[in-house]
Order: sequence, then C-alpha cells, then structure tokens
Amino acid sequence: MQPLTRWQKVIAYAALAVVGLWTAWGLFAIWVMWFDPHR
Amino acid sequence: MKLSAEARDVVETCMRQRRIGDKERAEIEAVIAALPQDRVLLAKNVVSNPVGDLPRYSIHIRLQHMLTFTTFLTLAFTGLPIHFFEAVWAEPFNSVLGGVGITRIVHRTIAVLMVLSMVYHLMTITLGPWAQWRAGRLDWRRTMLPNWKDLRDLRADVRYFAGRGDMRPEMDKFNYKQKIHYFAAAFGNLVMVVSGTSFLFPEFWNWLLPAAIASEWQELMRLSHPHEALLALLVIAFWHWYNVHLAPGRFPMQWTFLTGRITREHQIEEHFLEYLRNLVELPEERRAVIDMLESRELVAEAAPGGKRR
Repeated sequence: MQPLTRWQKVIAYAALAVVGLWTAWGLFAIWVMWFDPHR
Repeated sequence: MKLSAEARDVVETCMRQRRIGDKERAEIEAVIAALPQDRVLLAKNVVSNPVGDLPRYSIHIRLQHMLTFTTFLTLAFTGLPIHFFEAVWAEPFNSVLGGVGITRIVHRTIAVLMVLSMVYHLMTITLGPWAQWRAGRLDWRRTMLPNWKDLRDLRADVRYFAGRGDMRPEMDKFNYKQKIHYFAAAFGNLVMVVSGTSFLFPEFWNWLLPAAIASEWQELMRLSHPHEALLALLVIAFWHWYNVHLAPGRFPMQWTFLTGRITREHQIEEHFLEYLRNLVELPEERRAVIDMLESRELVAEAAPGGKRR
C-alpha cells in the first residue's frame, strides 16, 4: 500500500474523529436512556 | 490459476455479456492462467493506491451515502434532546437552535431529506439494474440480493477466521456481511420512517389501522423510534470502526465512499469474483497485474511462459 499524502491523512483522521464523536453520542444516549428523566 | 466452477461461471458470463472477441478472450485467459493459485500471495504482492484502484460505486451511491450519513447523524443529534426535552442537559442543546420547537422543525425537515434520499436510492437500485438488463449486462450475483452462496461464504469465512482454512472464500461484489448490514439498515430505516410518520400523521395511521390496535400502535411507535435510533447509531458506528477504519489494510480510512474506488488488495481479498470481472472489463488492470507478476516472478507455473519453481 502506498503512503498517504498530508491532506489525505487530514481527511482520513477527520473521518475517524467523526466516528469517535458519533460513538460518544451513542454512549451518552445509552446513559440518558438508562436514567430516563421521564420516570 | 485454475478457477473454481463458480469463478469460471462468473468469468464466462461477464465475457458473454461484454461480447468479448476471441483475441481478447485469449488475452484474459492467459492473465487468469498466470495468477498464482494462492490468492493471499496475490493480494500481498499487488501495489495498491490507498484511495482506490478499481471502480466500485457510482456517483449516485456515493451521494446517497453522504445524504444518509449527514441526515442520520443530524437526526440523532437533534432527536435525543427532543425526546428528553425536560432534562437539564437537553436545554443547552435545544437553546443553541432556538428552543425545542425549532429543534423539532429541524428534525422533521432533515427527516424529509432522509426519506427523499431513500427514494433516490430505491430509484438507483431499480433503474440501474433495469438499464443493465436492457443492455444484456445484468448479473444478479453482482447485486445486493442474497443467495445460497452467501451462506456457504459465511461458513467458509468463519472456518478461515477459526484457523481452519488457508484462504478466505471467493466472495462477490457484495459479501454476506455487507448484505446483512445493508438489509439491517434498510429495516431500521423503514422502522424510523413508519414510526416517525405515526407521530406526524396520527390521523392517517388511525384511519389505516383497525380501531382495536390503533392506540397500541402509537404506543409501540413511541417506544420503537428512540430505541431503534439508538440501536442503529451504535451498530453503524461500530460497523464503521472495524470495517472502514481498523480492519487490517484499511487504517486510517477506507476511501471508497469518497472516490468510488476500492484498492486492488481489498478487491482480491474480499471480492475476488468482482476482481475477475475487473480483469475481463479493464485491459489496463490486466497489464498492471501481469507487470506485477513478472517483476516479482510470481507467474503461475502452469501458465504459458510460467516459471517452474
């Protein structure tokens, strides 16, 4: 596999960060649903 | 390489549909004969551009993926503060947009966009194969439709990962795992659209359903909308973690969703039958693989001009 250029690395790691934030939001949602404030 | 019966059928179908002449057919057969029998050896030795070498997704599919992930993530980020609008943490989220009333409008507007993206996708997956069928180039094995081979591939892949096989199965353009995820996402989408419309248009659903189950239906939809959303959010996040970012050969990211192209290494490892079609359809790929095999002295010994080891 050929190495990535600098800009390709920026795009790839930014996508990785989006999936990280997305997972964090999912875990936060589990926490919220577990302690459902409507109950 | 001596092809399996399934691989031979894929190659013959592709050559027939592309109306390949005798001269080109001989060239394709020579390239296939020159491939080493060991597909792992082949995948490890090809030179791959990380942003992709071989065509996989059209611009329509890439646009639909972009529409789906932007609408899906926006819906997830706005949906939670709407569902728990009384919670202390939800207030700042709603305030940023101008209050829960505005968050609801944003959520519903984006939901309409997601439904339109779904319609766009349905049009692509029906009109695309229809055009291919009209041109005499449709091979159903190249689509998302499940078949018995997927079950055999699943079994063979589990055996491989358990250390009881030398090579992964010869999988098609979409493998069993991708088909499971695709239909799971399609089902999830349907649940979200049906439950979402039951909040927006309760009269319609009351009119449509028998009176005995109409009230239970609304209750069921109120439970399923947030829970299906959470399930989809996490399942699809972890699917991306492994298959797009962290699987060997993919880190830091697989580029297919942007460039529409897949790396040669990935195509050979996970979609070998599609790679054979690439050899039939792309003369430049035949030249590239022959150059690689000759430079690394990997031409199969059975091939004309092949070296005996």
